[in-house]
Amino acid sequence: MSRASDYDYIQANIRGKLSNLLSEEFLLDCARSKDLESLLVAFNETPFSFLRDLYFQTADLKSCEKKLKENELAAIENIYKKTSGAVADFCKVLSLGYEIEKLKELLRLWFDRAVCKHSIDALTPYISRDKIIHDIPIDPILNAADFRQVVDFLKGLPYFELLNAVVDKIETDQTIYNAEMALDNYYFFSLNEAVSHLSSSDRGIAAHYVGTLIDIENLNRLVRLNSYFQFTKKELLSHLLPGGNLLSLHDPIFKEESNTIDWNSLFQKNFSNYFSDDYSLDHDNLLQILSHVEWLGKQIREHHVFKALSANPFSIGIIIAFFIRKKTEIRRIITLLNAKYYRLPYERVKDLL
Amino acid sequence: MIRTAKMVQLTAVIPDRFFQPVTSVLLELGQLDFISTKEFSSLFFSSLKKVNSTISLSKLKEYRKKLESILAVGNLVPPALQEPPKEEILKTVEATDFDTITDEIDGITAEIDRLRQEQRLLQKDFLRVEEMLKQLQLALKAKGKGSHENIYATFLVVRHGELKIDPSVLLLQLREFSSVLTTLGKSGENSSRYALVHLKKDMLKVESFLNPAIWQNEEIFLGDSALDDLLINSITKQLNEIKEARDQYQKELEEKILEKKESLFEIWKRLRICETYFAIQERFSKTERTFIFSGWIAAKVKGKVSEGILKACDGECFIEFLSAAEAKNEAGITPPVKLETPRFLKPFEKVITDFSVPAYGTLNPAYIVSITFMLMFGLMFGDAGHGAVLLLTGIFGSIFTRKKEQPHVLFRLLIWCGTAAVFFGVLFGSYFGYSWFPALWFNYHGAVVGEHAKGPIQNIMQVLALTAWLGVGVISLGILFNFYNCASRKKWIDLIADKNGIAGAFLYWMGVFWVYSYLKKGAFPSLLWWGSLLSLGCPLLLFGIRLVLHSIHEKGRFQWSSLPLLLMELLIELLEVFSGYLANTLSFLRVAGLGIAHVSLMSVFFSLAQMIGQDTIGRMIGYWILILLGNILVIALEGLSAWIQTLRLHYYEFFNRFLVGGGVVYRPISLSNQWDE
Repeated sequence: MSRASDYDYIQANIRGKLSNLLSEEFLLDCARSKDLESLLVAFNETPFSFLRDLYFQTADLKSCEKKLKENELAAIENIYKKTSGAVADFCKVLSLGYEIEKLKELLRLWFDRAVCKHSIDALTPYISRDKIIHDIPIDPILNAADFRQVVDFLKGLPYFELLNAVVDKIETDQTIYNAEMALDNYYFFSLNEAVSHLSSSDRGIAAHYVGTLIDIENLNRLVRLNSYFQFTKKELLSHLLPGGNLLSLHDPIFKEESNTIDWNSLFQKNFSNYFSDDYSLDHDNLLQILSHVEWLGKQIREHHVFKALSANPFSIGIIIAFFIRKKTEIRRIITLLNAKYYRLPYERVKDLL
Repeated sequence: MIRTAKMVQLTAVIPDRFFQPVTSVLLELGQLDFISTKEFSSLFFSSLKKVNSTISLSKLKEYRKKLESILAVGNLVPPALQEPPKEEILKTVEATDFDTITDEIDGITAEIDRLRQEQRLLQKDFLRVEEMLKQLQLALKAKGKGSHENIYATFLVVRHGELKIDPSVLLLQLREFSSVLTTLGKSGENSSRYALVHLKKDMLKVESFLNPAIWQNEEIFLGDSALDDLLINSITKQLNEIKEARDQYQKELEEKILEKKESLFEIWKRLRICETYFAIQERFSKTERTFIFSGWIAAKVKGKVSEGILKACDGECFIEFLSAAEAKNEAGITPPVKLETPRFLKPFEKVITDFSVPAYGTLNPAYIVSITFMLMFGLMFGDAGHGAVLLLTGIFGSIFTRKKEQPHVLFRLLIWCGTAAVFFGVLFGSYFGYSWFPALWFNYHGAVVGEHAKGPIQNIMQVLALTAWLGVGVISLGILFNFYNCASRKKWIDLIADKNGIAGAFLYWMGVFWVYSYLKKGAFPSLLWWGSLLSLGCPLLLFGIRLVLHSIHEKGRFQWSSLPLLLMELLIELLEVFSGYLANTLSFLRVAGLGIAHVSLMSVFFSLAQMIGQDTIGRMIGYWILILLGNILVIALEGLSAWIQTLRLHYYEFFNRFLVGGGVVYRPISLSNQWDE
């Protein structure tokens, strides 16, 4: 099959979907809404009019969030169904990302209940019970007595081996960070695996996208591990993922024993295209650094979308662009809903968007 | 009406004491599309002070929008407003107490918040019970697999027992846990049998509430089918009751808003009038003792507007009108575009503005587009039955989407297209693919399937020729429109030497004549040598002159060194024009293509249905189901194709030839116009 015939339908379909995504202008206008009810009325003429009906019926913001996340996943699964071969496998791994996020959420809830002794009863109804790829035993995990039992419930699933390997560490450290990291590593491994089976031209585009994701993930890990666990730079290296586009793991910085990182120079050196000279981060302000990493991630992803949309339309780039844009759209709507629920002022909401 | 409305620029200076009456008049007239004085380059205008309204415009808008969202909770849409008389406007603005209005809106908002809070609590109960029901259902599903495999047995507790107190007391205590308490019926005079489902992790806490005096415990796990069903039914009933109570809050809200409907509409009207009134005032500029404003109005209402302003100022004002050309020359301001298309043809105006808003002073092709659009669609989708379906869809869609008295434009366009399809269906004698009545023009079906058809068109080649002539007609019309647009914009070079100007038209029409002569007589016209010279030479010369003039315009003088490049450009342009016109004309064959596909698809379904036959009742049902499905498929598929192709032919083959876009829509500040959207 030619490249054009591989993507003729899907690219036309996605272009239509892309034009239906909520525009920047509309979202900023929504940010001016006086409160949540006004915002929901503004969604009336959009594909998200269901939010208004749902909220008027339940007055429950979390149910709206759940519905939005289901909407996002459904959009990705819809693309998956329209593709075949290696492209479909790649899309399936994108869906796997949602399953892994769900599993991580379950682990966090289990941890809250079993280790921190907090009540999670108010949160469990918002867990989606729909199967994504595997049958995750939701209730058994949430009610498991210890982490070993959680892992036992996952027997037969690819996650069993991954989590079984970190059981001891989790029981000693009393944190599920290692389990989350193992799951994330598996996701990136699966993505790279799916990329390797794509055609040569698609492989380049998809590998660049995965590299972008790895860069963002590595940056997050760097900041969190260094700040929360005081890891030295050398120790950090073993927790970073290989294959990023911008952040080089061969950087001499990772050979040092100290645990002080000059964030300004790290960003300047590796992300100079996105980091302006006149911007300076306060090293003691973790929140500022984290929000900058988030901003950087947004810039890199948007750059990727721009490149994907202006390149060959008959390629996997269009699928990736849609995936990023759809994810961003849902994240922004959830931000708007919460911001208006708490009646945040326009300027603050604008920043959050 | 055939071209964009003639506009004039109005600038007025009024003494400050007439500020309010003039604002009221401008709002009453609703004709002025304001120009910011910043757009004027003169030093005088830039030194003028800005007028700030007494009430914040953004606050007014915020509360108006808030009120609209309150109305939406009660499924109400604010009524469309018409400009009230100026006396009423002034009275409304003066009598509006903004603080009272905001208090009232804030009061309703607080009431909504209170009811939402109650709703939220019930939703929490709903989710808690729903969650337990889900887990019970999963446990029952797993029961068949053997009890040791039922992992739900490890964390789910189901108790049966007798409750001797009011259940609401226990319910309140259990509200914090994932649990459900449900009645299974009476067990004695003062006691009832209840089932309590909760998680094993909450065992100790739950047992602390279950005093043996009030609850006789009987812990069991699922097993008895009858009891299981009773339990599930009881929980489902409880869930429905909570849902009903929760939904009741929304109904209560709707009722409360409906009760206040009239007063809310009145507040909304006041807010909208004040908002528009102050929006007008904020577009004024001021000096020490005067106010100045400027804007565009349609030339035909010039008298009415100036009379209104003069009357409001007792004649003590200065008004100046500038024509569009004068305004452009003096301040470099381009007038906005007002398309005066009659209301019934507005859907076609939308087809045009979706492509681009015509530039000021050019043609408004809505009238012609209404004809060409229906002609093309009708030829592609000519079936009276199918057209009637589209027509009805358009009518019902327009009724159901009627919001603010403005039905969706797509449905209104569907009414036109449906009408065209019915009209051509009658001409072709086609009714849901059947020939119930003889064709008034020619039998399309007969021409396509090769039956010996009567009428002026009897075979596919003639259908193709018909649509090719349609193409020639539409392209020629586009060229003629371009002549007009070039002349009205004084683009003389483009008029004479552009590919859509006289040179290109000459080339095209000569080409059409040649092809026609060849097809008609089997040979080119005998005047071939001078014909060739004339039809190729003249346009070539004109194109060449245009290229040379452009080159001089760009570089200041003609450079001989650029001659080879110009000759090359000339050759390429000639080829482009030639191939372009040929492709554009042939492009219209798709009209025939779609029409033939329409007929062919119906023929296929008729053949398939005939294969089924009608000799038994079963076969007869199958026959008609197939015919029905065929018709539905053809209406959906062909309807969409014909729609897309009609749009495509207009946008690409027709509008590209003459439509000068880039116009700015005329948007006067008025109550009946969504000036701020």
